[in-house]
Amino acid sequence: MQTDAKTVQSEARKRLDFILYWYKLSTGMIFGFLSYLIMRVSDLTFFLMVPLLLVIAYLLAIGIVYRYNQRNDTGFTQKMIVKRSLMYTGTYFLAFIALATLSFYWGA
Amino acid sequence: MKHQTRLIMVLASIAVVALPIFLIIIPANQPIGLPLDVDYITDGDYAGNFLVTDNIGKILIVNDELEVLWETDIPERFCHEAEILPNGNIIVADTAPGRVIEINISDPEEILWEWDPTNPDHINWTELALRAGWSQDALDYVQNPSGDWTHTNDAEWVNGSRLGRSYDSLMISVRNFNLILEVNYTDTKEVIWWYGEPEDYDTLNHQHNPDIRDNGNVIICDSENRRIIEVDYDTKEVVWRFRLDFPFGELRWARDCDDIGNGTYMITDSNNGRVFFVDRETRTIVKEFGGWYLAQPYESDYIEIDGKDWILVGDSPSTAITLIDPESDSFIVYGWPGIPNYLRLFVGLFSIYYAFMFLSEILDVRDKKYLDRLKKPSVYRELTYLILSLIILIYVGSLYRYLVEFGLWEIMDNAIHAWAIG
Repeated sequence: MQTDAKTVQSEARKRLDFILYWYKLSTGMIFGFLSYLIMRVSDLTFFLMVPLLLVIAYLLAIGIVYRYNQRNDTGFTQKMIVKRSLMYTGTYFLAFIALATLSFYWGA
Repeated sequence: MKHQTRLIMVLASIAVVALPIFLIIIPANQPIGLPLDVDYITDGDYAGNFLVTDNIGKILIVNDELEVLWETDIPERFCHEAEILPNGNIIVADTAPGRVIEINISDPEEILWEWDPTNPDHINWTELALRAGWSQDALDYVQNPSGDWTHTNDAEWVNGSRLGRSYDSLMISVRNFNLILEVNYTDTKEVIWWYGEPEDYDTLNHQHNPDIRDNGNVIICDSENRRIIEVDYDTKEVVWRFRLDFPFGELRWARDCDDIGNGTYMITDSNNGRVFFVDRETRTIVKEFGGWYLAQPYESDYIEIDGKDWILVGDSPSTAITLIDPESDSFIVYGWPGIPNYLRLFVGLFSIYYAFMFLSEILDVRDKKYLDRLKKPSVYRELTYLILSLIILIYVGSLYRYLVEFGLWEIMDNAIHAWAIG
């Protein structure tokens, strides 16, 4: 019985990882693309914009994990939810830099 | 996992070992450090060679083998511009102290003439502010020097006899004052003309390279207002302006605009890494050069060497001088572009890492067709990372310019100025 519960939790966590990967990849790409446009029409510099967008992406990720946790049996505590939301931050950055670079190049 | 760790160690070691080789050892073995302004010398003893302003604090004359024929290290670090005067001497915009100096071509250790913005005998800022009717903010700025106060980035010799004057003058760009001054070079150092006002960012905003055209108008790169303007010398009215409007492209830190004849202007659009020709009448881009092979060009000249036209470009992050053939868009590079090559190597190394990860994941899936293997999460993840890193690799120059455009330049400027004043 206990093994079944663990398997269910493990499957739920795998699905969450999958969701988080796509979420971080797509927000990284969208925010990276938008960063050029946002800075173009505002006075924000890159050094304010990047952490600002990262915090927004992170808060949204916490929301996603929290909601997923409510609907599925992942066995996460509050602390684990916050920690789990940090996953794929590297993916976010890679996507952000690639798309920011592309949009800057093509936005000439 | 063991292979992965080993690969990371190997790639990281290459990146660490290459860092001093690319950025210190190789650049130290070439005479030009960070060339901002590069001029082709057409007259005098050094005709046929290049006058190079090395941002590191040197003015050099080099031939096309990069052999140093003449050198002075009088300018402080951070100097921006040098020009050969008709008398053969060299006038330098020495940016860190903000002064303009004339260096004796026969004695590279001798300063023959100097205009120093901090010397009240050379310029009385309060008197000029009152005469020009500047605002209180402008007055406060000029009376309280601090940090990178002037950032004098250009000094252009103006032939007085062509304008019917008994004296010659210098057109000086004081970037952080948003101000262009023309001072009497021949005798009094008196300010005879000015355009712009400190703390007024609408008239000029951190301008570069003012030039007097043959008709007397002044072309100015109003860099941070993202435009080029042409000002009537007598009325100070803007008689021509050029800009590209967002989102259909725009100028990004244009720092040079030259009238190259036939109604064509040549604009150096630094953060777009390009040089292009504009038709003055139609305001359309006629021809464009650069893109991937220029990092952040500072200034370009349209020159003739042995009867053939060339575009000569000073591109400091490239640590090289570039000659572009305007006919074919082919180019010759003098020197070794250390910074861009290191960035390419660095991003290339993490592309190799992701290529390895992708291949090892795809080879792990044995019993499926290749197209089906791509559906495995770990395979398409690594493929995505590989594609993203290749995008960065291809446009690595844009990444640098993106960072500069959106704030890095200010940090770099302050750091270099602090370094320059010791």
